[in-house]
Parts: sequence; C-alpha cells; structure tokens
Amino acid sequence: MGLASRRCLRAAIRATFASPLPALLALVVGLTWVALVPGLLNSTYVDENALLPNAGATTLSRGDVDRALASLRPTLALGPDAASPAHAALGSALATALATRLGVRFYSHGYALHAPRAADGSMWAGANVYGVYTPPRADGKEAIVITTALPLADWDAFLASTPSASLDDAAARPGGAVGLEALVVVAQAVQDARWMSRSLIVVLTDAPAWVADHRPQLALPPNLARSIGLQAWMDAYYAAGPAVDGHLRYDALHARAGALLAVLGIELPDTGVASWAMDVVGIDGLLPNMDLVNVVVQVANHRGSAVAYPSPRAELVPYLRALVHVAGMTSYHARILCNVFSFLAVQAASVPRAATGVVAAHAVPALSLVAVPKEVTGGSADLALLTTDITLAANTLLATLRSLSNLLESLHASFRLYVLGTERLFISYGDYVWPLACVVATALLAAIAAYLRVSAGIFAFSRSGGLRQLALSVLCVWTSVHAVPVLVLAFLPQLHHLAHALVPPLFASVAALAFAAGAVWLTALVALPAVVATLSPPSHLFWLSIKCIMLLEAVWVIVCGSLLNLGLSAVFALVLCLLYVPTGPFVPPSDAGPARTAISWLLNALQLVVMVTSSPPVVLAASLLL
Amino acid sequence: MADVAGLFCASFELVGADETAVVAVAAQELRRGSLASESVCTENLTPWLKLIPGRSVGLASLIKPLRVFNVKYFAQFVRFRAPGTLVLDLTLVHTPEGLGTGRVMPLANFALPDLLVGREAGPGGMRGSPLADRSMVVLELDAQVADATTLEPAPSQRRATGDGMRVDAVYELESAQNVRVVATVSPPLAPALTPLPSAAGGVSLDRHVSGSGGGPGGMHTCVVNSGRGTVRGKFEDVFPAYIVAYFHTLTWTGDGTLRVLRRQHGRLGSAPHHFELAIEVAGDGELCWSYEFDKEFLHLNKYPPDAHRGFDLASGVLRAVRDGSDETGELVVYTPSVLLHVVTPDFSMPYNVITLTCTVMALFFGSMFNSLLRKPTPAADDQGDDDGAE
Repeated sequence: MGLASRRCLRAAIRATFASPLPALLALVVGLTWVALVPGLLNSTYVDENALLPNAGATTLSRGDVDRALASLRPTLALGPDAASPAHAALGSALATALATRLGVRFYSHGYALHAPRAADGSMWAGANVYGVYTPPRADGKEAIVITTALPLADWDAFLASTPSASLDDAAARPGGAVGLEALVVVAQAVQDARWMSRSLIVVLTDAPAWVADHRPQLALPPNLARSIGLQAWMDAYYAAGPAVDGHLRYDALHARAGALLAVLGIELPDTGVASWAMDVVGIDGLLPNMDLVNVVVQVANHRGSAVAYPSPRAELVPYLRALVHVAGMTSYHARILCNVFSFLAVQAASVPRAATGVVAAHAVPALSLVAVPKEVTGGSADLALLTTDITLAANTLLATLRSLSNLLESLHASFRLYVLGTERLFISYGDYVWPLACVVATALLAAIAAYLRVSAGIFAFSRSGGLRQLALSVLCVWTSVHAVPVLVLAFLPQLHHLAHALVPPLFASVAALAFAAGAVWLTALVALPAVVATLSPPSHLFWLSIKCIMLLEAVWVIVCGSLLNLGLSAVFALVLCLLYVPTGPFVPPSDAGPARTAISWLLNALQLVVMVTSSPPVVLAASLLL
Repeated sequence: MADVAGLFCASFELVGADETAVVAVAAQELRRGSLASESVCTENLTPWLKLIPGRSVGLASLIKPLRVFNVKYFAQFVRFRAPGTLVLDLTLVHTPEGLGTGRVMPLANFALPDLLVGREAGPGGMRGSPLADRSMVVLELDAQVADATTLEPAPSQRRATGDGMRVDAVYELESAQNVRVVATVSPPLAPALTPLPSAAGGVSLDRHVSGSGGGPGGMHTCVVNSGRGTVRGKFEDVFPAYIVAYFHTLTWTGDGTLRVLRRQHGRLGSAPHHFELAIEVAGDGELCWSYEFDKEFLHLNKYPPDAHRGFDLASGVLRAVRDGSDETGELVVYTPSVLLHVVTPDFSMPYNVITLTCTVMALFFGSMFNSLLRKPTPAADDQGDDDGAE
C-alpha cells in the first residue's frame, strides 16, 4: 500500500472517529430510510386464494340467525340458580343452559383476581363459561377458540332487554350479550357443517364488575375487563392444575381439545355497529400469523364488508397523523406511517391492545374483530345492536373458521415478524432491519470514537499511578448504575413474583443471559486498556469512558432486544440517537466557557439519563414491571 | 415391516428406531412401536377386505369403502396370532341420519345393513359366507338402550354382558338366507351429555400436555373407571427421545395406586423412552398421574416439513382387567394422541448464512485478487514523506 493510501486511510479514520459528523449522517440516513420504507412497499400483501374455500355457500342468512336466536333466548332465561349474585352460580347456570341448547358440554371456570392496590388483600371473583365441541372429522389434537367478553354483571340487563323472542326490537342491549348470541349462532352452524376438522372451543369470558367500576380511578389498562377472564382461562388451559396463590388464581379446566391453533375474539360495543376493524397486536415474533390476518380481511371482503386496521382504539394515531401532516406528507403515506409507529409503540410497551392479545404469552396467534360503535346522533334505533350486525359477525367468524379448519399447518410461520401498515400492507421485519441498523450505527460510531479517545488519552499520559483510580471509578459508577434495578428486583419479593408471573421464563432467561454476556464483555473491553496503562486520567476521560460503556451497552441491548421485541428496540434506538447525536460534541466541559460548560453538563446529564435507562438491567426491570 | 406397509398402503416403514421400544423377555425381544397419525385412504381398506373369505357375499359384502370412510370413527385392526391365526377387526362409529348435529333429535329406527352400505344400496341384508364355518353378527346394546329397542327379526340369542351394562344380541347367519335386522327405539333417544359407558368396560383414558410454546411442559394422564369393580392393569407408554422426560417428578392423585414397572430413558436417534406403570383404580374412581419434561433441540433434518404445526405423540395403552367381571380377556384402552409444540429453528437461517458467507468470501477474495494482480509501481518520492510521517 502506498503512502498516499496510508494517508488517506489515516485521514478517513480520523474523520470517522474524531468527528460527530459520521454519526450524525448515519442518524439522518437511518431516519429517512425508516420514513421511506412504508411508502416504497405497496405490494407486499399476497392474496392466498388457497385459503379461501369459504367463497362457497357457507353463509348464514338473516333467517338462519333469526331462527337460532329465537330458540336461544328462551333457553337463556336461566333457572333459579341465576338469581344468585355470585358469578360462579350464574356461570354454572349459563353453562347448563348452553349445554342444553347446543348439545355440547359447557363448563364454568372460576377465577379470582387480587384487587390492585387493595390493602386488605381482597380477591375479586369471575366465572368464565366455556364449551368444547369436537366435530366428527376432528381428531381432538387441534382446536380453534372463539371468544367474547360477557360480564355476568350485565346478565340481568341482557335478559331484561330481551323479554321475548322478538328480533326486530330496537332496544339497546349489552354488547357482551350480543357477542354471546353471535358465538352461539356460529357454534350451532359449525355443528351442522361437515367440513369442520378442528375442535371448536367457545369461551365466554367474565370480568369482575369491580374492574370495570374502578378502572378509571386506578388507571388500569382499558382492556383489563375484557382480557382478564381470557388470561385466566388461557393460563388454566396450559397449566398443570389450578393456581391457588398469586395475583391471578383460577380453577383447573374440565375439558381440553389439544393444541390451540388460533384465538378469534369478537368485541362489541353497547351501541350500534358503524364498521368493523381488527386488532392485531402482540409482541414481535409472537404476532398472529399473517395468514390469519389475511383470511379475516379476505373473508370480510367476500361477505361484502370491509375490515380495517387499526381499530379506533389506537389513541396514538391522531397525534402522529397531525405530526406528519405538519411535515407535509400525503394522507396515504401519513396513514401508513402512523400505523407503523403506532404498531411499534404498542409493541414497545408490550401491553396488548386487543383483549385477545393476552394469549401471545402462550404463542397462540390471535386477533380480535372489533366493532366500531356508532356515534350518538339519532334515536334509540341507531344505537341498537341489530340482528344484521350479529349476522355479519357470525358470517365472518364462520368463514374464518372454515379457512382455518382447512389449514394443514401454520403456513408462513416466519411471517410473525412484521409491522402492519394497513389491513392490506405489511412491512416485513427484514425490510426494517437495515434502516434500524443504520440508526443503531449512530450510537456505535459514537461509542467507538469515545473508546479510541479514551485509549489514546490513557496511553498519552505519564505513568503516575492513575490507572487504578480510573479503573475503579469507571467500574464503581458502572456497578452502581446497574446495581440499583437489580437490587430493587432482588429485595422486593412481591415485584419479583409478579415479574415471573407475567414474563415467559424462556424470554427472561434468554434476556438475562444476553445481558450477563454483554456486561462481561463490556467490562473486559473497558478494563483492558486501563490494565496496560498506569496514568492519571483527567475528568473528560472519565466522562468519555462512561459514555463509551453506556453507548456500547445500549447498542448491545438494542441488537439483542430486537430479537425479542423489535418495537422496543426501535424506540430505544430512536430516542437514544436523537438525544445523543445532535448534542454530543466531543468537547469536554472543562475546555469551554462557563455558559457552554453548563449547557454541556446539562446535555451530558440528559444523555447519561437516556443511556442509563437503556442499559440492560433497567430495560429488564422495566419490561418485567410493565 | 416394509412388506406389511406395502400390502396395506400404510406408513409402517416409518416406525423406526426412534419409535420402537425393545424389551428383553427371557431369550426373546419384545418390540413395541407406533405412529401417532396415519393418513387414511380407501387403499388401506381394499387389501384388508381381500383377507376376508368371500368378497361379494358374507361379511365383506357389507363393507362399502365410501360408506365406511364417511363415518365418525374408523379403526382397522390386523392381528397376527400364532400359530397361523389372523384376526381382523373393523370398528366404525356411525350416527344414524338425524343424530349428527349433537342436538335433540329422535333416534327412531334404523336397519343394520343401512349403517354400512347405506340406504341408497337398496333393501339388502346380511348373509353368511359360504366359505366360513360360522358367520355371526353380535349387536352390543347399552343396557338402557336395549330395554327400549325392539329388534326385528329377533336374535337367536340375547345375553347380558359387562356386569349388566350391555346386552348382546346374536344373529347366526347362513349363506342361503338374507337377514335384515331393523332396530326400533321407543321412546326416541336424545343424545346424552354424559358419555355412555365405553365398550372398554367403562374405562377411559385422557391425556393432555401442559406448558406452551417451546418451554418445559408436563404430561398428564388420567384413567377414569366408571364401572363398579376395581381395574388393575399395566399402562405402557413409548414416546420419542426429543422429549427429555423427568420421570423422577412423577406424581399421582386419585382413587387408586400406581407403581413404576419400567422407566427406560431413550436416546435421541436410537431409542425412545419406555415407561410402564402398574395401576389400580377403584370402582367409580379416577387416577391421574403426571411428570414434567423438556423439549430437546433437534437436528435440522429431523424436523418434518410442517414443523410449526407441532409433533404428534403416539397413544399410550392400558391393558387391564376388572375385578369381579364376567368378561373374559383384558380391556385395551388407548389415550388420545396429542400434539406437542417443540422449539423450531429459523429454517431460513441456512439461506442467510450461505448468502452472508458468500458475500464475505467475495469481498475477501476480491480484495486479495485485487492486491495480488496489481502491478507494483515505484514510489521513490513517497519514501521521505513516509518516514517523516512515521
């Protein structure tokens, strides 16, 4: 290599690692890339016609639904057991009534939830009702679950609103009761069908009335009332026996039907249905198979309706939409971008938005059909849930069941890594890895630069015995920063127990292993230069050491975390790089004037906070506590 | 094994070392293996039917493949018993028309041949095989159903079996006479929500797997004895070694006792786990046991094409006798097979590794060839600068 080449190489290295410009450039390129990807991928959704045998005559007419409901409602006028306010008694009575009606065994499944923030440790009880139907052509090894929330506290209102078998009444009824009717209609239709080759499990999930009453005051998740019963049932399905202690206690199930292929939920409001949407939210890698999304969308189209994504519960969307409008983007691009960021944000929070999202912990694909309620503009007729709505929901569910029943396996399993832009557009994980990697490279470049400056500084100083001071200082700060959340987890047994109850053990183990390996590696990386040198460090070297450690650690976390939760890693990467790069001059605070020094200290403190919050133990603790 | 597989168009050749347990009994080896599932086809039935003496007359004439494969449950057995005895069993669970929906529908009457050949085949009957020494049809009726059932013509023999839980109606068939048995049930029956006592003497087995995803799990098995007498027997389970079974975690509860007879751990690729229990379940009782397991990572080529669906686990089998029963022979009851989700690799990873490796290799060799093939040029002017820079 010639001298000119060497000079160019040295200049390139100097320019790369001695200036914040490459990091800034990587950030700008990465952000632009992220923003442009959704617009560049318009045709990524593939029609799977092979999954649509339901294009045939499997359709429930309005008359079919009328007849089913007419025979159902008198059955649901429960016996004297229903007079008891206890959920368990009402659940048993409802199970008996449904069993009589459908000829399928139904069971009541009791559970109890530890009341949050209740000093007396009181438990609030609920009672799910479920039935297992194994059709003649099924082998009992796979089952599809259809579920809806039916708060038994609303049962009296349901019965009072349907005193007769009249179906054209426009009286408003609880959405849960109408969901029950839709599910029973579907279950009855499946019994008449010869094509069903998977078992069908109907789950009516109850919620303690207390949850709905106290949710606003206690800032509980919006879907807790809908999802808590399903979570209890799912946990019981995969458990060896009843759970007799812990925050969520439940009885053992009486019947099972093998592995669960999918969970389809239906969520109905207490008012009329304006349109239908679907909620597809799970943790990355455990998202519902893309086929499930595809089937629901295609089936709804075949039935003359449209299913949109996302549901109107995505509160984040209006703010994002306003933001991108300010940026002058087109509405189509803005919609996709809003959905993408909303999707990532919900994934980052790891709090499922749909009621069926709780099943993601058991690696079962699920989605919810969510009815968008009508706005209150007219009379009571506009607010009523009509048989037409039930017919539409039942037909969509029935056709989806038929498609799922014909699936021989979970096709395209790798399609569980995606970001949903619209109901017809998804962006694959692979398409988003490179722009996010570009963003992460920002922090990596800055960390390497800081490391080189620290090393150069250490070797440049005289051998005055400052090595031990530097090494101990760095390690003390590093240890103290990381010890706090670990100590919090270790010395709060209640939090520890809660964390283990909420996080799949495999994920916790993998994450802990990755974090431990990263910590050892980083410690060695930083300690090694200090071991071979004996120098007295100035203050900015200490600061750069901390920055280098935290940035490398953050990169490590983001890369490892992206395997478990793409959304969380993406949010961390964006926040870290946005805060770091523009305010990250490699100027030590002591080299500037008082004003600049103060600003630099402030910005550096802010960066330190961001980097500490993205360090492995903090991320682990936050994810466990959330 | 391959010959039998070819004869019956079945997948017996897939029963390999991973599925076969070998037990040394005296100087002999007893082997037990099973497959968790088999895709049925009419081709499985045709060679089986050819083993029955008389294809167009006799019992074989009652069995029409299309009708047989339209039933709710189908089981076909071939038992070789020394010396030179072949036993053929065909089990069909057929629901008469009008009783298939699970709702309240009357079961009025049905003709026995119609269940097999269908009404569309015309008013046929049953006839004995001229090649057989004896042809006999036995109708096993639940005791409650038998009281409400009238059989026309009357059977030649009617006897109570199964501790009075069943009634057998026996028809001796002759080759020269058609017999068309019509059963009339009065009053009409409604399907019961509680299962009727099974043909296996009121003993049923249930099994499920706890744990989800790729994490650890547990195998839970229950024996329900709905009869009066105590059931004693041996439960045998053979399952593949990719399940890392922790037999020391075995626990049981219920109305009976349990003793481990054999606890043989398998080796991946060569032998399955073999688990035998001696159980005793009291009358009207239930005995449940469970143990924990982990799931082994398999080599890539050990996964089936539909690995994400899960792995089928074959049934365990219970061979038991009931105390005080007048039935001869042992009860043989199988557990349901279950589907187990295992840890699956990212099957696209080899593709990624290949492409990344090729990219790295291309960069390496490209740079190397570039350096090797570049012509050296004198750089006298650079010498001083180079030294100075150093």
